[in-house]
Amino acid sequence: MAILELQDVGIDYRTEKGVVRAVERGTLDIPRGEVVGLVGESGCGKTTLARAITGVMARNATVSSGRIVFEGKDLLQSDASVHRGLLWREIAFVPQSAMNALDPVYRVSAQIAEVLTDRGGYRHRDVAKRTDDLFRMVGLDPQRKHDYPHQFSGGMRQRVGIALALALDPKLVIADEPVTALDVIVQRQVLDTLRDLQKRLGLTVILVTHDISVVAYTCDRIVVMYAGQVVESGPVADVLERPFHPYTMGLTNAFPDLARARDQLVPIPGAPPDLRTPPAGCRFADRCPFAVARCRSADPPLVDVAASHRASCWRSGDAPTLRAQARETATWVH
Amino acid sequence: MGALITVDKLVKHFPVRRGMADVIARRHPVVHAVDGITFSLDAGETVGLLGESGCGKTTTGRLLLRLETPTSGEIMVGERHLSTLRGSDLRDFRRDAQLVFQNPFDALNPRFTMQRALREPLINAGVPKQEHDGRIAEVLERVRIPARGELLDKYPHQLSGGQLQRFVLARALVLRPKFIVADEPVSMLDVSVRAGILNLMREIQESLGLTAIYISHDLALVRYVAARTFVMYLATIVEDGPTERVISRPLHPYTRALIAAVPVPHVSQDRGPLPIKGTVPDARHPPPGCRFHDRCPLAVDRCRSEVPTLREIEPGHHAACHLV
Repeated sequence: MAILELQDVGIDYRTEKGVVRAVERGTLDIPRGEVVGLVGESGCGKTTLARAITGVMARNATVSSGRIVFEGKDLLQSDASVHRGLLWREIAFVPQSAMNALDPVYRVSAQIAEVLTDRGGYRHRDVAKRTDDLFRMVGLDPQRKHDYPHQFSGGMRQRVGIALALALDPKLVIADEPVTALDVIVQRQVLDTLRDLQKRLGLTVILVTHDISVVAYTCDRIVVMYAGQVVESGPVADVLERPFHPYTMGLTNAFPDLARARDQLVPIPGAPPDLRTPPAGCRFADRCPFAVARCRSADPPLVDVAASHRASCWRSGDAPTLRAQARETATWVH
Repeated sequence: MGALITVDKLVKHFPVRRGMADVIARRHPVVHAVDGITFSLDAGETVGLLGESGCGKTTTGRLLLRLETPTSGEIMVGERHLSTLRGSDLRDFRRDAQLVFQNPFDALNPRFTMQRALREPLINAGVPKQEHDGRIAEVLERVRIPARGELLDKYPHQLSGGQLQRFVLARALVLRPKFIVADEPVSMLDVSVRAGILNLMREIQESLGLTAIYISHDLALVRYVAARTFVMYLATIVEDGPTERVISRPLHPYTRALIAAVPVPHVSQDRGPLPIKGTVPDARHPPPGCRFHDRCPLAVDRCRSEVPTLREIEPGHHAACHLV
């Protein structure tokens, strides 16, 4: 049973040059107790979609269609105060850069205390103990809780961000690029902590990232987005080993793999379409070496292609052949 | 071909603000950015400078371009001391040695069209005006940008990251340099675009026979452009060898930890705990002996007192560790 279901979520940004539909087909299920990686390149709508789940969005953004169902409740149909009430207590957010999310002029302890008392109804005398527990949980020395954000290193700050998100025992944690700016060793340490906490506390986690290797290491499931649409989703090993969407195939072949022999990296030529004027058919058709006439006229729906594995490609029936061809650089040069 | 660049016991310390206690004790605290590194590069060689943030890799790159002055030590370019170059010799060096920036989104002047961005270095280097168009056409072909397209009249904000990085590369190449330092040239780019730029850089390097240093924290990327890799840890080089050897048979315990930590894009079962503890020590007070000893799973007493030197362990493959 999924803790969270998103169905055809559409999100618009009002800009000076008109309305931009940043997310067009936000469709995904988040099973309880699993770690789901939401991947895509810059501008694909992954952060926008994740923010819509929390209900905290940019002022010019609106969810204009679809359903966001959290534990059986449609958040878009319910009152805004219901959605706000879930934040921190049920759904917590670890922002992209904890440095920017933490207030530089307040001690970290004061910022955690604020969440605990104002949001969680903690009594003041219980705050210190809870803060110490949270620090220990994420692998930080509780003695440092009175430090200011700038006194922590990048990895430690990210741990503070996780501690803050866990303050009120949420069920769902959404982490936006939690390790992107970190060095590999620190990155691995933070991911291990996150994974360990997820198991111990039975959390459900959505990890938003552009890095499929982070997803491969940490996640149970993967959701791939391209140009505002979910194009493929499923168990992480299935999707990465046997992708059905040519974009996912391209992404895995473009990614360097240290554990395997050095192959030629296969780039995907071109760039994603301008979302102000999205193409009529499949949004990847322009860059796709396998596109046929139908791809340019009709947008393929997201359909089941294997056990709990969905993809949106008119040619998903040919996937095994396409996969082999996608490994050749020559295929993509056209 | 002989060595193009020789670096001997290069040191760069940055002074930090003194506290009252430092003033009283007459201490002048410094950050050890580069601490006595020695190596040489042959003409046409490609080297990756690998390490975590703060290890001194970027400072090393800047020293090699004479954008920083060393605290001590020597950099030789051919037969000349880099620090003594003056006048036209220095101008020649500035033309021959170029930097490729990390972030294409702010490496180009937002008020310049691409055309102008490529012309500017030619003007500054005093290349005769009638040669400009030819030089620009030549370099655009190298980076695979259509010379007759509208792209040349665009401003940076109108281009994608991949296009911008091609122009940044073109600008570095327009003066026909012999030596380039590329500082994390693809770290700001999306994966699908990154592969294209890496392939392009390798191609250009091979066809022009450039000597190149790629500064990166990502061994998986260094592998595609550099034949040899230096691994840096806390201002020193701890390992130096052919890139594929460093990946398949890392010698230094730090390199081993680094490789174990690199995430791979497929689901893998055999990922044990990291063979490393804690975090990088403060660069103001590097530990005595081997700088890695307090994080090393193998450290013995000798490592705490005696500084290991870079020794050749197998042909062309060096490590600074007492235990290999």
